[in-house]
Amino acid sequence: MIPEIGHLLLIGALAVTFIGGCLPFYEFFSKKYYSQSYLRPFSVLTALLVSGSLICLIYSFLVDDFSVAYVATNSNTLLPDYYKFAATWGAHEGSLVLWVLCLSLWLVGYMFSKRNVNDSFSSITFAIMNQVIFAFILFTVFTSNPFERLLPFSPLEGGDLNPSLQDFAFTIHPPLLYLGYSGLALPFSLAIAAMITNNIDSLWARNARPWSLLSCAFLTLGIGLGSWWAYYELGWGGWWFWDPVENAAFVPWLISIALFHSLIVTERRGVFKNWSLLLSILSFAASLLGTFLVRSGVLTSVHAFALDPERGLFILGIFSYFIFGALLIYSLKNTKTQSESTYSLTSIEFGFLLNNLLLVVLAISIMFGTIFPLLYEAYTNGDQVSVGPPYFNVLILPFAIGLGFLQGIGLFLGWSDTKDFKFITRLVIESLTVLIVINIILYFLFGSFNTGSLVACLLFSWIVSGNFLDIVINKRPLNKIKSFLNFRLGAIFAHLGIAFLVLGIGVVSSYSSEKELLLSVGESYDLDGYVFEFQNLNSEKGPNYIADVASLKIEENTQIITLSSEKRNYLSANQVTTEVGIVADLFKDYYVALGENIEGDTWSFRLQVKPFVRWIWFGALLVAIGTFISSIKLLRKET
Amino acid sequence: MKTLFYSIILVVSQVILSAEIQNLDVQKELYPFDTGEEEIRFNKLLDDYRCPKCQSSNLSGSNSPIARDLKIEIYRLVQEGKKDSEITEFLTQRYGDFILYKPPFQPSTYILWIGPFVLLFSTILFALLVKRSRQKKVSNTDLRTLKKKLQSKLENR
Amino acid sequence: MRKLIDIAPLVVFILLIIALFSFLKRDNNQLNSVLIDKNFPEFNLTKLEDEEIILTKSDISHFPAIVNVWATWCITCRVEHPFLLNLKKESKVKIYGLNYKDDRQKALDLLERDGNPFEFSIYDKEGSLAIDLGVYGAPETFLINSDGIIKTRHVGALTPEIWNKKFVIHLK
Repeated sequence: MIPEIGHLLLIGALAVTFIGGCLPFYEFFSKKYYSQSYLRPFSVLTALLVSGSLICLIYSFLVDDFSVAYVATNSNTLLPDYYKFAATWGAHEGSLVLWVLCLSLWLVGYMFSKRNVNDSFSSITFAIMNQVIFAFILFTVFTSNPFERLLPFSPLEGGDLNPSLQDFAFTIHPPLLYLGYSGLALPFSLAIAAMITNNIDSLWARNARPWSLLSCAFLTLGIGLGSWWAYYELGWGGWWFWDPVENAAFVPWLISIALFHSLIVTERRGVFKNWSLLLSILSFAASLLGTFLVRSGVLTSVHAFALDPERGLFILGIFSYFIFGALLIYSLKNTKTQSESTYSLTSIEFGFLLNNLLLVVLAISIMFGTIFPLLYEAYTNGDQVSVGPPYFNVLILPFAIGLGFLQGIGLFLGWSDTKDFKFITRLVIESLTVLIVINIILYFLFGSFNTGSLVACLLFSWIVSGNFLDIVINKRPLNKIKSFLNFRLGAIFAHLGIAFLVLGIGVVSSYSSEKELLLSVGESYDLDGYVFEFQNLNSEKGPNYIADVASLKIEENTQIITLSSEKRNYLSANQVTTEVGIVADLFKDYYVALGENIEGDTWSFRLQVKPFVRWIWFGALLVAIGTFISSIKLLRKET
Repeated sequence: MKTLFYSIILVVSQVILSAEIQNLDVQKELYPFDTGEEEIRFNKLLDDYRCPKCQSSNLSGSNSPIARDLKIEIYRLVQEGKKDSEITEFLTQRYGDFILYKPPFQPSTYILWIGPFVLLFSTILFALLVKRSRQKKVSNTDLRTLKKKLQSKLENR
Repeated sequence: MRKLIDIAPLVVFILLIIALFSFLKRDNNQLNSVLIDKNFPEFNLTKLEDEEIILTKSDISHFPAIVNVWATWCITCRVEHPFLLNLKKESKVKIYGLNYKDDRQKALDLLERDGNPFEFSIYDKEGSLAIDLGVYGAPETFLINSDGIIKTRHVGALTPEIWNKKFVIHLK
């Protein structure tokens, strides 16, 4: 009964969003306004219907209703309740319901964020959002129905949730990521509304900016969490693989950053209007394209969702409808939006322009590199090629340097023109100081001086100087500091976040120690001054698995650390996973992965020491905090 | 007495020391190398070659049988003193360019390697040109309005 | 000039959609063999059925032929086995086996029990010939045409459909 209710609720939402997607257009073009006051109730109704549907699905998981095919495939009776809850979005069908819910929540958020939604701008925005929601519910109901039943013979026991997904991080990673992906639909809708109602102005830019910031914040958290989870789940200490699914999230993230930077300029000076519109469309396009790549089976990935070309076709249809439609409106829009404000090559406008070009070209290049193997195979009629980390790591470096450079000087540039260049000398001195300090610290901590991390350290020093150190050192009057921070607190946090992220990446790439070897119980190994001792091996039983647990002791100077790593055999899926042993302090991670039992009590191990790796996710957290601060500030000013 | 004492200490410490060294020596390396450089080279190669069977993984991160076999093969080649390029050729002769995570730099992949930078420079150039043409328009308009103002002032005299 | 900028994204987008659509239509999820149009590689391994006998490339002498990579631990090979037995009966194509990283006795027992479609099987315990062939899993099948050139390689179980679509065209 419950699954059917869940299904019906979705269909109900389909009806509501259909009306919501059409009515405002009818009203706008016929100039017959029924009642603008349906916008808020409709958006709430949609959200309630979709939540209800998701709740029905969650309920089916919690009561082990294996007559529902989706539950049978992704859960079983031995699965802890907590993971049954999360298994709801563990595979394609259920994750779509979550996607749709996120979209509806954004719509409600927007509808209640403004005091007045009685204008055509808001109602067109509402309409476009409804159309997006409608399209995705249609996709779900027609090709990916999570409520399908396995009747009359429903299994007594289910499959299993993929063991590597049975983890806390997994439960929050998709919701955060989907909030980020779907959130980009809002600036998209606002842009279209602006074009249709001919309101391409600072007010539109002001309206769109907090939502693009918020989407970026969620994407940052989602991607950061995904990276952290890959780090401790996959077992070889990597935290980014340039996997197609990772790139699918990274590209919209980059474009959303370009977007809210561009919107600053449009809001303040009325320029970059076309560019901001285009970016609003592009960011959502990237989000949809990512969804397509991940769910159509076109690209293979560790992360591969449902591999189904038929579903891929449907998503392609959705992608085509919205982006073609948007770009068509863009090409037909009123071109008298050209503003006459001028700016010099040393202005902050131009700085933002460079920032945007770097971000967007990088995003396009990453997307191109991701689909290049497919293009190559088609073009050469069968030759195959791979594009992986060696390519992307080389690609991103010059862009990162360019963007980092701009981040350092960004707060010093002036609108229209910059007159005072004294900051450059200060910045150079400050960053050299920080650079030397950092390297001294690294030498003390890790005993060597490594040139591999020099670029990262330099970027870190430069950004920290421009976004923190100079503010602190350069004596400004107190009231000016306050107003300075008021404007830029979010930006400062976010830029510092990038600095720490870059530093973490640079240091962990150059200062890590690693060894793959065999150890018997009682044996030790000295890895660059850290002595690892294999103490013993025990057998343990978990709720749905049996594990071999290896305990190790690590000695560094006078410090003693213990950790354990396991090999888990999940009974129902008959899958073996490795649980990595990680112990972290402020400056490094000890990372041990248990391998195979070679014979007797000899096991293979992968031992690693990873300096500064946590700073990567700490940096990501700061970026998310910064973007949150900025968006909340903007939203609060509105009411 | 003293000599005996000291010699006992000597013997005992030797035994302890050698036991310790023995302890650290006894562990077996999965892929023992003579030099650290070879080991680093080996590990880097494993990072940059793709596992032919896995959905998306390099050799160092894969436990599939073919990945293991290839690791052993690459280990053998490094031990034989083969250069990176020779090992790459060995693998691509059998598995194609697919096995390289770093796409080869050849005419069919120029667009991949050079494209981004060409795109970056051309868009910056484009932005500069557009900016300059707009600025000219603005200053021309200013000139025109100035002219108009002067004219109307003259007429109003 | 301005109008061109406004339409350009649309044009790029249409091209993208065409490309993505073509990707959906592609139904190849195998690694394409780079040994196509090349000779079968040299090797020096024992015969599965008699470990005293050393086989080399010249022992694969009757063309057209297929070389089938199989093992007792490979479940899909079991599915494919009846097809191979049938192929031996119905076709003049010689079937050679490459026993891949297997236990000799187990392999012989399986052939005894389920039938032997192979002229002989090469016993590739270490998988060295397999690596030289670019094999990455089992079952795999290589077609060598009447001129002794490898013409196609299929990963996965052979079926009549795949045989007709991928292999028959090279048999002349």
